[in-house]
Amino acid sequence: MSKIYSKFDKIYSNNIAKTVGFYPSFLLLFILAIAFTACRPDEAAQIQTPYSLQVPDGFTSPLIPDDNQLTFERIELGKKLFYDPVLSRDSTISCATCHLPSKAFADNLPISVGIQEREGFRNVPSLANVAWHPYFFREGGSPSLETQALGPIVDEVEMDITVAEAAARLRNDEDYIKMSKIAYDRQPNAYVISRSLAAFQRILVSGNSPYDQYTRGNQNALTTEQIRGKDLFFNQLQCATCHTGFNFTNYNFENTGLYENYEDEGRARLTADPNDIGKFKIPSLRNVALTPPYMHDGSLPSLESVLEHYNSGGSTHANKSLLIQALNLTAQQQSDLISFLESLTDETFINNPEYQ
Amino acid sequence: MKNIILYLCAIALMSLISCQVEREGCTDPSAINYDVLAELENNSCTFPNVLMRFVPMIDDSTQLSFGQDYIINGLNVRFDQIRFYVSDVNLVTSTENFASEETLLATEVNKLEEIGELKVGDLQEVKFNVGVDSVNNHADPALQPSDNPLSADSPDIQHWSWTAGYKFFLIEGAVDVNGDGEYEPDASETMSIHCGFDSNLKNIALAITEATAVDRLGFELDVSYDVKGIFEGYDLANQLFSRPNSNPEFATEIMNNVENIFKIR
Ligand code: HEC
Ligand code: HEC
Repeated sequence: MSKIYSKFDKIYSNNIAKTVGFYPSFLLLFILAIAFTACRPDEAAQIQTPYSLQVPDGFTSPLIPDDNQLTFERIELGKKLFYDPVLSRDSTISCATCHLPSKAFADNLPISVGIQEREGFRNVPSLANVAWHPYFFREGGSPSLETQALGPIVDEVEMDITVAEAAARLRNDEDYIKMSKIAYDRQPNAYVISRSLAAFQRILVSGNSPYDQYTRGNQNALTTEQIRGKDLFFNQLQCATCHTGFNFTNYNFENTGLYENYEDEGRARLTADPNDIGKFKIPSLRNVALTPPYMHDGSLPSLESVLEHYNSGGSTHANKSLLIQALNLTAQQQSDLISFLESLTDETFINNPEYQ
Repeated sequence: MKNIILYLCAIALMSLISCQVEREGCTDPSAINYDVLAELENNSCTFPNVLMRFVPMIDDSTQLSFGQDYIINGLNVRFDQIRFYVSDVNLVTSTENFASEETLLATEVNKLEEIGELKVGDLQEVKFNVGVDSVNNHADPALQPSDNPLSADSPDIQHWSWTAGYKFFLIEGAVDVNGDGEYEPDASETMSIHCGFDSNLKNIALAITEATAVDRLGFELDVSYDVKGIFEGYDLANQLFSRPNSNPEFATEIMNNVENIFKIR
């Protein structure tokens, strides 16, 4: 905390020192400028320390909304909220209860468990590289990290508290009041909570796995099994038609033939279109080895079982992608593929002190 | 030079006097403060304030009391909450077609809610939606003005996460399913039906049967709704719980009934 204030003080007082010391006549101008910019929504950003996101080689720059440009102060506030159970009704559950840093911000339960041990209805996804996701949730119903953030707070089986009540709690806390004031120039409210959580999540970048090191030229980063698996994944099989790009997903919605009858209808819940039944957002495969069990409902316990599923071609379903066909992979090929998926585990990411 | 100054003063004086002669005021006959003598409009018109209220009825003449027992579809039922969003209120009168921007949340408190200012005239039709239109339903609730019931800062907001948006219509209470004269406190007899989804938005249009004037004193529009009608043909004993991912079809049944429960009192 004190770090933020000293930064803030320094910038602020530097400005004044300059204007007062060297250009006395500019003092008035300076005051006027403050008075004018005071009504601009993002004025708070001007007295904060901008944060420039380190984008790994091969990644694009993520889109960041104008009213929520990254600053250290916003990220710090979002991080504090992310780990604080104050955002749940009985103060037992934080975002990190389900999104564990050591599990690439996912967990190892089939279905998430929230407040008072209430069972959720889906498997928790990793938050690595969420800054690049064009929409959120497995059916894509939430258009931004800002809007997504309020979902778990109010969800009856997750944190189960109204945002108004959560914000009122924060308004009783000196630290939160100060941090909100600096970060967003307002008292803690829904805007502050949603924006700061989004800001923190945008810096969760994973791009330093052995696979990444290999693509950047370190020939020793992958084992021979992993290199064989990589070739299967990208060249011989259709995996990379869907799990493509630096984040291993094109973000489309696909039915992989997991079931003949989907209890969770996936994308169709949002669109009510029968052609969307069983379609789920293609997940990123980064850090996938850390996040068993798999699929939207956590029904496949291991990477072995996921590969068995793809190898068999899955169940029959009218909406199943034509790319999902029986593969007849040998045991060796399956284990090569698994080794390759394991090479997507990014130790730098899960141990990054900036995130914890 | 002196002459010119004198001349200017004279002009100024004249224009001052002439202003006093022409009477300023509100010249719109449909306003509360319409001034028959006024010749110059001074933008002071104020119009009758329209208030709207939703009243739950258990039959034609009895208002529902929350927390009490009623018999519905042969079962003892207690209601703790019935809450719903009303949006896009449109009032057609002889003088205008008024569209309100306000969204209101009808609750068990039966509060009168302001929906805007109307011109004096005869009410001809009342239209509104139960629920929230698809644009607002998927907009960011943190950006709604904080005094709006759609705002994430409102203690009353009824919102899921993003996929489903707002809870258009919410019913909480208990049903004595096994008929032992008590409400079991567990899931077997707790009623909790939350209805939403764009496809369940209901457009309600109510014709005016008795002459109703929006007069200068303002206007209170009492709309009643028939609580038994919500459960018309509905299997209350077996359909106590509905959420977007748990029996959403019950919510659709309820919303289809909701379409037909409103009346102007
Ligand atoms: C009880 C467990 C739980 C808690 C607590 C929780 N989440 Fe989640 N989170 C989930 C589950 C399950 C999903 C997947 C939901 C879905 O797709 O329908 C999810 C999805 C997400 C996603 C979307 C990821 C994607 O790829 O679409 C984000 C972002 C997210 N959570 C952030 C948060 C934040 C921020 C908090 C704290 C305010 C939080 N979560 C609290 C379980 C939880
Ligand atoms: C048609 C597009 C498509 C193709 C081709 C495809 N996948 Fe997937 N993959 C998906 C979707 C969609 C899911 C999520 C399904 C769900 O949640 O029910 C998924 C899930 C996974 C998961 C589980 C991820 C998690 O976190 O739950 C793994 C691992 C995986 N795929 C690996 C592969 C491999 C290896 C291949 C090639 C053999 C492959 N995929 C081919 C679309 C595809």
